[in-house]
Amino acid sequence: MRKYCYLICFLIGIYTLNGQSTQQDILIQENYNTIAFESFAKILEEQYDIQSFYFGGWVKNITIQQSQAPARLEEILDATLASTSYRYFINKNRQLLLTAGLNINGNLTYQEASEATTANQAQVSQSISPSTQSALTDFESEWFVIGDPSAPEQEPKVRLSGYVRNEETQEPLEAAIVYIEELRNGVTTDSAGYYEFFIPQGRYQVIVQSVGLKEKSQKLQLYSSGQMDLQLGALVLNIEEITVRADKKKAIESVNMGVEALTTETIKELPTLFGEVDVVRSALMLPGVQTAGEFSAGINVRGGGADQNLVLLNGAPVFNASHLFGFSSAFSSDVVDGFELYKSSIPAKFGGRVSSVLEVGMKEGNQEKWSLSGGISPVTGRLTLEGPIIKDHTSVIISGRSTYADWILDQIEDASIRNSRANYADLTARVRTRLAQNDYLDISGYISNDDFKLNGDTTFAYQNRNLAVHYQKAFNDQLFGTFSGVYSQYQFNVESQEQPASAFDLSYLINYWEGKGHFSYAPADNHQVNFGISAINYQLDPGQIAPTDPESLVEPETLARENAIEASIYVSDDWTVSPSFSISAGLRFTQYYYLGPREVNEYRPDAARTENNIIGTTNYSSGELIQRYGGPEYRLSMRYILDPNNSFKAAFNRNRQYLSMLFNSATISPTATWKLADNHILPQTGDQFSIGYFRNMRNDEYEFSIEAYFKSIQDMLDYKAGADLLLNENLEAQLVNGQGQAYGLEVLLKKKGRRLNGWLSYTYSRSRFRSESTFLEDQINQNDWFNTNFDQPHDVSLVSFYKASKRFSISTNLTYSTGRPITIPVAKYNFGNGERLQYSRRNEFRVPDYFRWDLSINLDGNHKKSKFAHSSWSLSLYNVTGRQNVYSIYFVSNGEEAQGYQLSIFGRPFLTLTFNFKI
Amino acid sequence: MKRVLITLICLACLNSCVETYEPEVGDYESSLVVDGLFSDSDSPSRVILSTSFAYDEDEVPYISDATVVIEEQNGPNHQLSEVEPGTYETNPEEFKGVIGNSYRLRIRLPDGEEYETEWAMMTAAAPIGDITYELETREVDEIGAPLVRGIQFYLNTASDGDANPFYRWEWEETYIYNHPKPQYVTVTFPARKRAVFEDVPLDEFEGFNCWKSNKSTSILIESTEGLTENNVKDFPLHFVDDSSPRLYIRYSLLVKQYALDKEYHEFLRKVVEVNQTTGSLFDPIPNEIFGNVQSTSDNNRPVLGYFGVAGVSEKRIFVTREDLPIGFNAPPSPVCLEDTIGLGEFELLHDFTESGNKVFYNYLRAEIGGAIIGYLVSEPKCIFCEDNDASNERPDFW
Repeated sequence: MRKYCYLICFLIGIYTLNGQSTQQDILIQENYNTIAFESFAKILEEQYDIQSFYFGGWVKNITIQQSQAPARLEEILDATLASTSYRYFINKNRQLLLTAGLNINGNLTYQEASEATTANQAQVSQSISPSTQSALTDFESEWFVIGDPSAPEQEPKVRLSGYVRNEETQEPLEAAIVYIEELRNGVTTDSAGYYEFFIPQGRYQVIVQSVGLKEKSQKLQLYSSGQMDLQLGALVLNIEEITVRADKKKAIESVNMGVEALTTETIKELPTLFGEVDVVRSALMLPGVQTAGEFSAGINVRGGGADQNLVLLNGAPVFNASHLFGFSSAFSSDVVDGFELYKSSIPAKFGGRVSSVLEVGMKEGNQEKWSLSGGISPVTGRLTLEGPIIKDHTSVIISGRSTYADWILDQIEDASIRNSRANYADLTARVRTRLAQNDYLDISGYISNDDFKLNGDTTFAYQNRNLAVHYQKAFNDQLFGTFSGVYSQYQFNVESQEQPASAFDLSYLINYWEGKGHFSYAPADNHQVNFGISAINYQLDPGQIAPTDPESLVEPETLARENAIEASIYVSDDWTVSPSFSISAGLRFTQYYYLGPREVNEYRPDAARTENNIIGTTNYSSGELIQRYGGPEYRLSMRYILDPNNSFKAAFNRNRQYLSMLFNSATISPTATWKLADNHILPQTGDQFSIGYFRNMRNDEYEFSIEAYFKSIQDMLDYKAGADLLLNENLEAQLVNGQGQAYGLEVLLKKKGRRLNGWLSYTYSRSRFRSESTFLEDQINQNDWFNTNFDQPHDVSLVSFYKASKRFSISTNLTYSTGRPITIPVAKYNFGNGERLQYSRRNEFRVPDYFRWDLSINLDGNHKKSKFAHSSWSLSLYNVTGRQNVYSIYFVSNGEEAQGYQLSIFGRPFLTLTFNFKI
Repeated sequence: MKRVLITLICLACLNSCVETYEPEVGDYESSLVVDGLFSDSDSPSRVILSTSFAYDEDEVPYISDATVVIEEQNGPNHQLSEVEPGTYETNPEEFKGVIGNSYRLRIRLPDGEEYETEWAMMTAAAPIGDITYELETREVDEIGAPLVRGIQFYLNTASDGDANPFYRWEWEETYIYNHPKPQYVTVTFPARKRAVFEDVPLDEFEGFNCWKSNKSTSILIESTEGLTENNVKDFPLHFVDDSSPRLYIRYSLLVKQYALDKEYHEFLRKVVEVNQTTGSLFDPIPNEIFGNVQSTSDNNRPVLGYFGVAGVSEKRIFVTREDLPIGFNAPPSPVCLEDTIGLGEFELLHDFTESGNKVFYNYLRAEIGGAIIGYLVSEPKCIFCEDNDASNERPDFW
């Protein structure tokens, strides 16, 4: 029984409790002599607004001893508890904590007394496995004991393992850091929340950290191998004196570099436009992440193209991660718990894109109870249902979202947009079930749908669909496996009814199947080996057109299906060479097969790759190999810790990309298509070298980092002037393979304070391209280096959250970046009885610099526990200064005269007031 | 835990904002521009030579005294003659295009630089089918602004299916309008304070009608590639709104239809694409676009424009007021403001007319009795057809 006490205390904060009361005098007006303690606690809560924290079992037989009324609460408690071993503590937030007698350190949880009791009972029954049943004997101490001290094992090292879970949701925490202070040794948990050490027996201080959750420190007496499960609570800042220092050493100690993470909780603090919490766009506030235009689909990571990022949702790729061509990200914040962005140090288990991996985490359904939540913003409505199908065994979450954004379009000074209608919706679902103690089956699905009717006669529609099935199995204490089957599909179609004679329906489709086995193996305490194998099949229907009106003259046409297989095998080892030196080395080997049936063009070898120079075709039969590519991809990261506050890191990465997105506009257009590498279009190969210095200051309150990188991309794609990419069977004649180059510097200063949190980042980044053809028609800017569409050298972001009081907080962000490159007319000329524009060489000019300041004020309702609903107000002001940031510059020449225009969207401050409540 | 988010109020509305933009481009290298279209027409074909000019200028720098020659493959050469600065014309009596033959252009500039094109074959243009028109209303970009009414002309081709799938059109509209303020009286000033009035003799009187012509300035192209039939249906050729007197009395539209080869069409498509961007980030990135004229003396000097070889067919239609759908009302003549100057105020009349902005055209007479009580002045374009780029002479085809 008393062992539970330990856990309760353990959940609780940094208070030093002396068993003494605080300065407050609370007078109890009536005499409650001899009533049960629990009834008394209820009275305290109802009449005196005092919450009580204790374990139910302790007070079963305790009755209140009160000699007089009114009486000071302390007097009553002193008298009542005099004959027991329990002691108490009342803090100035009117919280009464019963302790089992010792002076302890602990976090005060923000839970109802009765709830805490049941929750902790459940936790304990889960966390004690048969082998550790005897562990928790000394429950009065703050020590977690594993094994029997009287019969110590003879092994030099014993295994310490366990699971780290989110205390509230009971979801396993991936990538949480479990750190043993004495050994200066830490490991991260896998996707099942599992961690493992091989360490000598002894006494340890174990620190557990995970993004956005309260750090936990646990003393451990280890006599033999055993399991210690740990739970991290939410960051609830209702006790003023508490000091929260989550991940305080993560940046220093992690061997990875160029990895950024944001949780949905943080994202929700950021100012929003239309009250829309945008999971992906928030990444733009991080160093090294840019976009070519406000509200454009796609991000540019470290000077890479928008198609060079692998976006994964619970392990399944999403081919178009935005709604309404970039207005909003494709993921609802209700079902996403955050993301990790790998800009460098891309783990060997990921491949297929040369710039980055954006791993979007999907929430798991609540294992404990059912709940329904939802929301309405000015543009969308959302609904989420989650809960246990079988309690503590199988959970489900389903979340849907739909829009009614038409009123925004009505405000735009453009007749064709005003007559347009936009619809989008997405649905996400996930089921996770525990098949055995450490075996899970995880199934998730995602559907998104977009429908945009331009000017009443042309419809752009696109859909994402994916399904991911993961089976996670623990073979033994050292070997874990995840077997996955992933299916993803993206399609779009364009339907035009503008004129009956040319009415058409054009469609595009990509199918993706992947089978994967991933294993993690911990042969020793300083090695963590990951390895696996994967096979992907791509099937693309690159274009199909059909008439949609009986009068239509459009000839039906279907471009030949593309078929390819990408097979990979990989292995990596995270090796802690010494307490100060770690290395993570990985090798991924991929083979890519482009397969028939297909008719492949042959071009004159001594001339430019244009349609006029096609000299013949070769036919390949079904399944016949047309072209093979492949090779090794190296992943290497190193970290050297100078002292607990300073470390150096270096990394080298190679990635190969066999699938590229084609669009000849400044940002991803509605008709952008994915194209497989073939015998003319080569796969892209990206090499990145980066170094960094990481420093923590002022007792981990400030984190400073500086990273520099150089990236070279072979066979990057660009487009010939006036390229026609849609429904073109000679696509390669429109494209140019060349060399990409990016380099830059990222400086980040993060503050993790009690009230003020945030970061300031500066990014210097360059991104250039050079065509490499000897033929004039296959060159861009005569093979000279030129800036890519997303070359924005200077970028400054300041994000800060200030918690003025428990109820009142302010958050703000400032962002500045150099204007993106554009091509504009340098002169005019007369042609065809009118003035025409003579454009500069590609991307020779820039739009004006971008600057925006957003502000949001959050006001929470009072924090009474007994309230039915908790409410909060949020006021967001987008673009406070009303700067007319240039979205685009364009020129219209009708022949009579040419005029340039600059277009800005949201050229005024935009205010959104949001009311939130929780039941 | 249940969480419901309700947004109550959205206090502001968003506004996109378009402003004019003047590029600051600094120096640029001006390029040779060749604008030529050689056809099998009975009227002269033209090649216009000029250079590109600064964005903020309006004057086209034409190139005179060049030698411009069109060569027929296995046939004669024909040197074009310069009819006005920079404009070189063929003499169709001596030389005109023949369907099935190939032609190329050779140019020698006064500075000695030489240019030429590849051979291009002339293909026959399909006949033009119906040219129809409808009353249409159009929304403008400004929120709440009234709709624009106008007559939209549509073109249908009448190909038998064998002709080229690449089309280009040019049109020339001609219309008659009431002369708003014909000049009956002229004034001269021997001295500033002395005016001499003279009636315009009847044989010099301009009359009551002007005919005005405009040529298409947009590049109008279409392709039937990917269609089941090599015919263009309802191509939106030209929109005539109700702000001018174009459709008040009688209107004529001459349409020329050219049969292009693929390369020429592709070139024009790119030119159209970069000249009519919309400001969306989904617009194709504009580019420098060079045509089929290449330097033979210096390979790296790019040439703007194109020398096209194309068969042509023509069609002219007439539209009178009675033909028009109900609901379309055009003004009878250009809007002309007149000013009245008091009797004897010669100095004022002198200053008005000397400025060139106003022209005296008639006396102001009393409504009763017809006595002269002042002088009427108005803008030149309202008084002389020529100042409105029109003519008082009836065209041949009218």
